[in-house]
Amino acid sequence: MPPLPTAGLGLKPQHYSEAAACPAAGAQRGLWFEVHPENYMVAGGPRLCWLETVRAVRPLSLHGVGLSLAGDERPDRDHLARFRALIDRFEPFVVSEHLAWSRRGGVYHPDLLPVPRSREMLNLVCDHVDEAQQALGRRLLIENPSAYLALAGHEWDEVEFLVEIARRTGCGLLIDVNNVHVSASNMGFSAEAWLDAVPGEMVGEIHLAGHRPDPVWGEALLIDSHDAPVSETVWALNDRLIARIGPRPTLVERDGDVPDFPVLLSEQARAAAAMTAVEAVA
Amino acid sequence: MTGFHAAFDRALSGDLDALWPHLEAGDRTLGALAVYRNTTIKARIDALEANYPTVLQMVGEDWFRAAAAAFVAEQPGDTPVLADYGAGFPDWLARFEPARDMTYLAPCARLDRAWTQAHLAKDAARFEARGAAALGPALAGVTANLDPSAQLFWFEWTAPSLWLAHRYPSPDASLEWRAEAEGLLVHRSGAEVQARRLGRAEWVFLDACRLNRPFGVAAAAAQAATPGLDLSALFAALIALGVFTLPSIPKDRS
Repeated sequence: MPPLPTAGLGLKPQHYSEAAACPAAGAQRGLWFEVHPENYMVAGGPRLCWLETVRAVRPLSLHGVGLSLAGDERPDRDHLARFRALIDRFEPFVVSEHLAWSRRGGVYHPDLLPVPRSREMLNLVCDHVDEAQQALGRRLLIENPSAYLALAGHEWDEVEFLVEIARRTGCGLLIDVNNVHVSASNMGFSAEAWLDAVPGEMVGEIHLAGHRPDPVWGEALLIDSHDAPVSETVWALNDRLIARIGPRPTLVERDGDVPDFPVLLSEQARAAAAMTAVEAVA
Repeated sequence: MTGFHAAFDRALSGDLDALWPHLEAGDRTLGALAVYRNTTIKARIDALEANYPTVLQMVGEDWFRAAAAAFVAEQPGDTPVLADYGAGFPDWLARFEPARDMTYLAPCARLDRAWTQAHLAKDAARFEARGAAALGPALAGVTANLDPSAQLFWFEWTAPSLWLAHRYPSPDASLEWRAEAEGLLVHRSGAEVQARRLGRAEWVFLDACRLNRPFGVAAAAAQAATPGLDLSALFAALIALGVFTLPSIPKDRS
């Protein structure tokens, strides 16, 4: 039986051959990879071949960024169909998306845009998650995005809102610990309290990433930039979360200033060690 | 909805006032809005840079990003598949006033786009020289199919040479922009996108194949374009590129 997925990495094209050749031993025994399906919604060619090659030796997660589940338009049928085709072909062990929107009136915004957590929005998001889960034939994990803007009209706090979506639709949660830290710092709430409120049984995956202070506003506005190593604060928050709920497949994300593969592996090994440490206690 | 999404949409296009009723007052509000605006614009410009590397190389980073920002404002795009973003960029560049003196820019952008399309095109089984030889004289009646990645170009200028010199640099590459006709074939063979200059006869042959004419018709067209053509050498060179896919051969052939 193949080893269970432990700590994973976002798969970058410049690392395809190293990812496929990485021996499944030590901290890399349970190494897995995550990709954005949007980068593989292509007709053919080497990208898909490489993904096949990596998938043949490693578990894969598909992490969508374009379904626009919190949009005021229904999920795009064509996008769902292309997503479904990738799920059928690559058989990911987990499929996830965001509590965010990105598409409206025929324009796609390459970002994860926020919404007020109102009752009206809750109903809308639940309808879209239901529709997506049905079309994809899979349970989704929904991720908390980073918050920058103080929106009016929130009737729920973020954890309550996510839990209610999970309860109504049967989806699970993907907890991005860096996003919790960035949002807590920007919006002025306690990241510890946020994480302590998450029901462990709903969590199917954890994301870790780096962030940076905004070039203009400095530490008063943190940006979820994915272009730096995971910060010590975020590692500590992750330890706190998994000490309570137990280990979960944990992804280290890096999308900008991507270092060499061995550097990423050292961060992946640290995430795997954190998981092992809480397993040993339990 | 209460108009939140529409208001946010307008704020992303620069009309920040639209979003005020949906915000709590705060001193970082403008900074936070800029984060979303910058992220969406930067992601699109980065995608254009990745999809048009020759244009980037020709004009430099600053000029490219300024032009790309103007393009992004006009054609924000409708797809989350960023490898496919910016299909309209070559035509837009052709009309872009500050690029008026760089007549080579739009043609080179078109070839960059062809490279991307070849890179992402459907995989197909290749028609090999051996298979063609096995058909014997019947080959002339067989309908030709070009590989889904194959794209043909014919320019009255040396755009293919100029583009090749940037995208596939070689010591003897010419950076001259001359009024001299050249053809180009861009296609993918296995994992690699390849580009090859075409003479008139090759272009005429492949163009007939693109229109799914029988090989015999393509051969006649090429011979008409270039009297005295060595047809078997031409066919051998083209089929060796892997540019044809398996034809459907009529069963009653024997």
